[in-house]
Amino acid sequence: MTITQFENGDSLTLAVEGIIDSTTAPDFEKEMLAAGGKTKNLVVNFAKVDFISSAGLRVLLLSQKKMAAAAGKMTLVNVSEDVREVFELTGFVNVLDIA
Amino acid sequence: MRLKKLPVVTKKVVAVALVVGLALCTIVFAAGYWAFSKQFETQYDSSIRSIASAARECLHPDDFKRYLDSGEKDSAYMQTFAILQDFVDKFDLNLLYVSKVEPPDYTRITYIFNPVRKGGRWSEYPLGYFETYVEPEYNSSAKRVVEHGEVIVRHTEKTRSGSHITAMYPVLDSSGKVVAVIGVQKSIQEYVSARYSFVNFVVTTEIVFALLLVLLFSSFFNRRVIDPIMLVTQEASQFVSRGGEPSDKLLSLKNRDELRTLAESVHRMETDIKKHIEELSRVTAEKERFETELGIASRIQVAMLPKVTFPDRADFDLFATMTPAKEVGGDLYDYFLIDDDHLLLVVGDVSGKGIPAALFMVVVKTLIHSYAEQQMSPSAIFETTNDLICRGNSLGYFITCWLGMLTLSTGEMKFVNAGHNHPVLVHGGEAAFLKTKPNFVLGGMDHQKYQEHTVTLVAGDALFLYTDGVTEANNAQRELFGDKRLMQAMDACMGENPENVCKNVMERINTFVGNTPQFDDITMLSFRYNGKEGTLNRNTRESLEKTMEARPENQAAFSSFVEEALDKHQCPRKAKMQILVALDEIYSNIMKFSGANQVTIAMDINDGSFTAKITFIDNGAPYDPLKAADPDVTLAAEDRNAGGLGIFIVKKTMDGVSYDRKNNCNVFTIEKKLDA
Repeated sequence: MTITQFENGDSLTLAVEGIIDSTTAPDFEKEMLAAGGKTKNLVVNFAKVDFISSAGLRVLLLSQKKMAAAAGKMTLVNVSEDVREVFELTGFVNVLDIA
Repeated sequence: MRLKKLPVVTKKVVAVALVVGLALCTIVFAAGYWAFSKQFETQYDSSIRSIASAARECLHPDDFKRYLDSGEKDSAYMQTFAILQDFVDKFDLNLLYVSKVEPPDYTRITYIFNPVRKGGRWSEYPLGYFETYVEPEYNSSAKRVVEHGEVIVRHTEKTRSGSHITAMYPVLDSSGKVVAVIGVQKSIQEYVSARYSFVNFVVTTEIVFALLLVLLFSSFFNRRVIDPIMLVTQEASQFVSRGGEPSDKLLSLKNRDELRTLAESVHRMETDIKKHIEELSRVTAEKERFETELGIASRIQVAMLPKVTFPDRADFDLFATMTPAKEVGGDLYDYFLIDDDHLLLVVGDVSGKGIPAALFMVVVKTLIHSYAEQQMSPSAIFETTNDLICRGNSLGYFITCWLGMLTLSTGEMKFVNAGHNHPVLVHGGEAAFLKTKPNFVLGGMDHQKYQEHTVTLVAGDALFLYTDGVTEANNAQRELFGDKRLMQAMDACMGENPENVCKNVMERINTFVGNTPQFDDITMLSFRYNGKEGTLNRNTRESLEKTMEARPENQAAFSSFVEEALDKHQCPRKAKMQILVALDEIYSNIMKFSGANQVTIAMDINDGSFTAKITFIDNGAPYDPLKAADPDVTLAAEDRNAGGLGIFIVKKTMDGVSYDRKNNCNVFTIEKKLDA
């Protein structure tokens, strides 16, 4: 998994590439929390995420809670059909802001 | 000369007779002895009393004191002595005494008169002779005589002086005072001898009599009871060695009792047995001949069924089997290559079983085979065959039959169905009955039309033909194996080669019926089409396994192991991703909760059924993730935590999950359909 970060005005975008599972989730969590501390508008680009496991979901939930607590916003963009299916399955579609 | 061995019964009877006889004799003897003794005793007793009493009358007791004081034998003394001596002589006494016995212990005796038998062993004590005689019985008798005036009679037997009887009387003076004791002793040797000879005589007589009785009794018993029984026993036991010939000796018995009836019964029984044996031998011989012929028929029938399974053809595999309920069956199957591109498959079931059905089956099979070789179409084959067997089918036999003709280059199969069970077609990993409206059975009615249907097979498709012996196999509860169990079997052996399919179905039938005897012939023909080029991997089922230490770092190696295996079987991308997510969830669960030190992942990929089965085995503490409740996926973000989501995802994305605890290991299995 690799994560590329770039700023775009008042928003911060994280482009994630690869798979988010229990082995990569700790890195993902570190990057997400760090990025969340820097911006009120976090955009996560999931275009190149092949799949996400519950470990990844946990990170997304945690980030979402932190952003909301800080009156910020987290948006997922370019979510693939397969990953969306997991979000739907787990009810995360109702929790996350998916563009 | 050897003694003839006595039958046990005789021994027993003689022993009983002996015991009874001797017991009887002993009782008689004892009674006689007692009566004899009593009689003698009474007689002796009264005789000795009379003698003693009479002798006493001759005494003059008042003079005794004078005799003893002076020691002088005057004429009166001598006269009395003479009388007493006379008593001794006349009555054959041993001795007679008149003596004074003194108190207190009556051991001191002073004799007054003492005549003894002349020539006897006793010598006479003179007047005034004194002795101290200590003999308790005598002393106490003397005391009773002197003090109480009693009369005492004593029997003394077998002493040194022989056996004798003694009477003791008190002698009273004129004032009535006991001044002396008179004793009279007589030998009873005579009586004892008489008794001895009596005993001798009686015992001898009785023993002789008892022996005679036993002899007579046992001889009678032997002749009338034992001999006939021995004859019957002997004849009966020799019945077999005589070769089952009844014994006429049994009828020569002269008894007119139950033994005669017994002998007659045994003779009748032997006669009946002989008759039955002859009958049985005849029937057995006939049955053997019949069975031999049946065995040959069975071999001929089996020989008629095709055996080659075309191992050199890559474009298809097939396997067929017929298990008759009797030696010969009414089921048939046939398959052969009409030409290089056309394969014929036939399965049929003649009404009825056994030889008639087998004959009919042979005719039908031959007809179909020869018409097919003449390049006829499936419907023409059935129509011609039907017309031919309807002719002269007076017994009304018919056959249900399914026939398919497959063009191997295109996979196109034309088939006709004459009232037969619908075959199972496995197409694209799905098993289903190949249902068409069946036409009438063959041999039922002439001029029937048979509708031709077409189905196109693709590589990997399979066809399972069978007779109703499969679906109507029943168990002890009279339940049928049925379509449902057949389909379950077909699903279970999806992708297997045809031989394994037949074996698997047969095993399931055997397990289902248990010990219930097979009622109908069971025939199966399993066929798999591998495509024109035979491109399909013939080994469409693969099992792999990988074991590593239970460390988080090893997850990557497990992932690539699973991924490679799935890629090899052209697993669609999405299914593969879902499986890899599942692997991540399950593996991280094992790391977190079970504390295992070793994990095995076993994979079973089946291209026939397009399924992958992945089993996770770890040797950690028992942990069943399926027990946890599903998370509430409708909650808002702030109310949620991520726990339990992993297994939930697995359950939702896999087609089957299960947990088991085996050999101290957690065994978690997921199944996933691999079709896109």
